[in-house]
Parts: sequence; structure tokens; C-alpha cells
Amino acid sequence: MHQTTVKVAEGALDANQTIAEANRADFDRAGVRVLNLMSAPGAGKTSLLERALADTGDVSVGVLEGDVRGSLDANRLSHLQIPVTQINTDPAFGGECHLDANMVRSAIPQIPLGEIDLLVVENIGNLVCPAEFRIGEDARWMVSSVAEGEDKPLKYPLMFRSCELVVINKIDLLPHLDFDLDRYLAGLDQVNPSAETLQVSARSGEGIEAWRQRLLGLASS
Amino acid sequence: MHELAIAQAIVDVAERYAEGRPVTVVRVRLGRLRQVVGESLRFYFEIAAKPIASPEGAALEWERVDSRLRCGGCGTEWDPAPPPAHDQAELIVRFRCPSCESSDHSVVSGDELIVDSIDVEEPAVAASGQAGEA
Repeated sequence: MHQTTVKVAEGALDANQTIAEANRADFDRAGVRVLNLMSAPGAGKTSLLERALADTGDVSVGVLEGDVRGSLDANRLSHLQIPVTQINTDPAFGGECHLDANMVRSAIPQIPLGEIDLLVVENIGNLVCPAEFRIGEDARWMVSSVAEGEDKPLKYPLMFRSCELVVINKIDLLPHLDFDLDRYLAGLDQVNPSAETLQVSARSGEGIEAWRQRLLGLASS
Repeated sequence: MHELAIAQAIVDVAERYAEGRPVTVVRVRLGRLRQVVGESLRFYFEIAAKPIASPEGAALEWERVDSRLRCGGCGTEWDPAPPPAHDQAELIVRFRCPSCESSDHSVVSGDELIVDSIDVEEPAVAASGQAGEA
């Protein structure tokens, strides 16, 4: 028995990237724009979608819900009369804490791409792993709630760096928290100086119209 | 959790190149911007690599690649995340150009997550015609 060294020189995520590009080609062919929406658990992704998608005007929107288990979020969106597709990573994908390109690929046959202009992929709540995996999206946004604390951009730079827009949610809570918005924004500027921000409250409705327009505007981007 | 997903991706690549031969070493290059904690990666790697490892196990060796950005405005190059004292130290990051304050930059290095090479055990009798069947 002897040992040989085999040269590899391949990115560990190259395989995911290849599948993401195939997804993107399928979405492009169908004329569907895709948003990868990420956040920590409980930041308010589903609430913000409920708010924005209550009135989609002449834009047809579909949602792909990623959860480790169950369909609680999909159930919350079911009254909106839009197509919602569920992916569970447990048990089919080993209970993964993020969506990857292959999981999204496996769900594509169940998504009515011919009927929609915009697909919102609600990723699994997690500030770490989803940052690593492209799924074939056109836009990467995150929801970040003020209840999570002002240090989050500096603690999770990979996630904040990978997003073009940070939707700062739960601003109605600011008077009750020690959250320093200026320090939060300074931290965000350190890790992602190009990031845009929107300040909203799904609860009070503040900033929701701007959020709705921004989201629906993706369909024609 | 992050390191588990990365470890599995590394093992998947190694498995394809091993072509069934038992793996003894996997060498990777980790850019500092990836925020991979080496010891945590090794822990998960040992679990994920079990199906492809030699009976003695497979070792993970990594090389850190320093981070370097290049400003799209003035061309300055800088390190946004200098090496911390140890893996767990909080990163001090700065992605805005230190010279002209531009936010426009490209990553010169630091995004690497590359499987560089693997060591495998060759079958004892490696008659050239049968090597691929082993």
C-alpha cells in the first residue's frame, strides 16, 4: 500500500454554485426574478411578507418557504391567495439550517413559474450558513430586527456583507430598548458600506409602503 | 453550524477526487473573510469524513489566506480583517477604503474555500489496467 497526492484545487462550494446557475437559468427563462430573503429566527420575515403581499397590484408573486420542519409560516401566508411552496430540510435534507441550490432545485417543479413574476425565497432563520450558499437568486436581502441588538453586523459580517439591502424591522420598539441605531448603522457601514437600509415596523406599519414598493419593484428590475 | 455545512462540502469534493480510494489527508485553503473556525471545522470534518477516510482516519490540514481588498476608486489595497490573535477573537473589519472612503471594492484574497489536494491510499497491486476498477 502506498499513498498518492491528488491535486484538487476546487472550491468547496463550486458544486453549489453550478446548481445555483442552473436554477438562475430556469428562472430567467420563465421571466421570474428571485429574492433570497434571510434573517435570524424571529426577525419578522413572514410578518413583513404578509404586510407587503396583502396587495401586490399587478405583480404576481410566489413564495418558497424554507423551514427545518413544519409549515407554520406557509400557513400564515395561505390567506394571501398567492402560490406558496414549502421546503422542509428535515428529514429530506438532514435537517440543514439553510437552503442550498440543490434544495431549491428540487422544489422548482412545484413552483408555478409560468404564473409569477417574482419569487420570494424565505430562507431558514439563521445568520450564518445561508450567507454561504447561493441559490440562483437575483437579489439578496436580509431582515434585521432591533430586538437582536446593535452589535449584529460586527458579529455576523459574512451575512451582512452578502446582502444588498438590510430591512431594519421592529423600529416601534426603539423607545423601549437600549438599541443605539447610530452605532448599528456605523457597524453595518464597517462590514458593508454599499448596503442600503429600510427602517420598518411590521407591527405599526411604519415604512411598510416603502418596503412593499421596493419588494414589488424587484419584479421589473 | 456553519462549519458543519462547510465540512460536508469539503468532504463531497474530496470524495469525487478520491474515486473510492481511502483518504488519509485533505488540505484546504481558508480565506479569513470566510470566518471559518479551524478547530470547529476539524471537529465536524472528522464526523463528515468517516465514509471516505482510511481505517486510520483522515486528517484535515488547513492554510489560512489573509484578506486583501482593492479599492475601486483609488486602487488602494488593504486588509479589512487582520489576523486575530487566535481563531475566536472578534474580527476588526473595515470594508470602506481607508484612503478615500469609497465603498466600491473587489476582493483580492480572503474569500478562498478551496480543497487544494488530498492524499489517498492506492491499492497494493496497481496493475495499470485495473487501477480504475479498484
